[in-house]
Amino acid sequence: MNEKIRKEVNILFENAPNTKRANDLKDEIISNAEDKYEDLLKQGKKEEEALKTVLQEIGDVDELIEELNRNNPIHTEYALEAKKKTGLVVSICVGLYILSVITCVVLEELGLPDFVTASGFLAVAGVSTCILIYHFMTKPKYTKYEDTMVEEFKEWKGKKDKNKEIKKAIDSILWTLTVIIYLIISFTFGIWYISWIVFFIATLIENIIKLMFKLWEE
Amino acid sequence: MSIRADVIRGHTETIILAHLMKGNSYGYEINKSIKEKTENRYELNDATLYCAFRRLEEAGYIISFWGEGNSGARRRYYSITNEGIEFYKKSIQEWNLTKELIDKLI
Repeated sequence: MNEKIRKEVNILFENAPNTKRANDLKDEIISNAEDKYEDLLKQGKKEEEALKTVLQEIGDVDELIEELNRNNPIHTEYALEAKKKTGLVVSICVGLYILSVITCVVLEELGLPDFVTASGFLAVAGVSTCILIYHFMTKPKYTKYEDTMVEEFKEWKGKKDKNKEIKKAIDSILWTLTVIIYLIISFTFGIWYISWIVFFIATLIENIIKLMFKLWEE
Repeated sequence: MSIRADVIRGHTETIILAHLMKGNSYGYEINKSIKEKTENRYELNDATLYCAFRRLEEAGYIISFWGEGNSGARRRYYSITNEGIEFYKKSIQEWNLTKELIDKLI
């Protein structure tokens, strides 16, 4: 008899777009409808009657999908707050990265031993990195569904792949340049004790580029 | 006496979050508990329920995952996020304030 519910719900979804979102909704409706049906039977309803009630309550699927597709952002105020928080965290961390370099220079000027200078730098940069990682790991993911039809989805995916290629290219150029700069600076000025900082700067630049890409994509 | 369903509907998200505060759940179970708690006087219709789920999910207040259902069909479960808990608490405060004012006014 459960097959009957599945069949009926499939019929309701006949004209629905063939998207992941619609299919997920269909499966969700089926499992809920089955539970409801079982409960109605337990309450002593006849099979036909229970089936009718369940289907009636699902109502018009087209309308439901339309309503789900309608962009209905709730609590924009709240989303804005989250955005502000991210902005604040990122600015603080960028500030800390800059501070870490300053710390390094100041400690060096004070004539402190190299290991103190390095520790000071790593401590400040480390704190900043930890804050960034924590923030982005705990940040909620705003799941966006592809409501579009299959064709549009393919187009979107193709574009995404192209972006990936560009990102890869930029990355490899950046890191090759970094190594070259590192070697040139180190050999020319003989400052091996500090020149490795270019790798941190490169990481910073890489993250800035990633961020710019993300903002641009949005 | 009729129930002011429009007033309740404005709190659909908070009602769902309230249920999820007690643990992961799925659509039918949530609606059933609403029906039981209100002694059959109130129930969400399917469209309202699914729309509320999507809105909450898009806002990052709940996350969904698929689990096993009774009859082998996959069932969509929902779980509240930290942001959802925060939002829930905020909504409760807002509601208490509103209630207080309305009580004073009517």
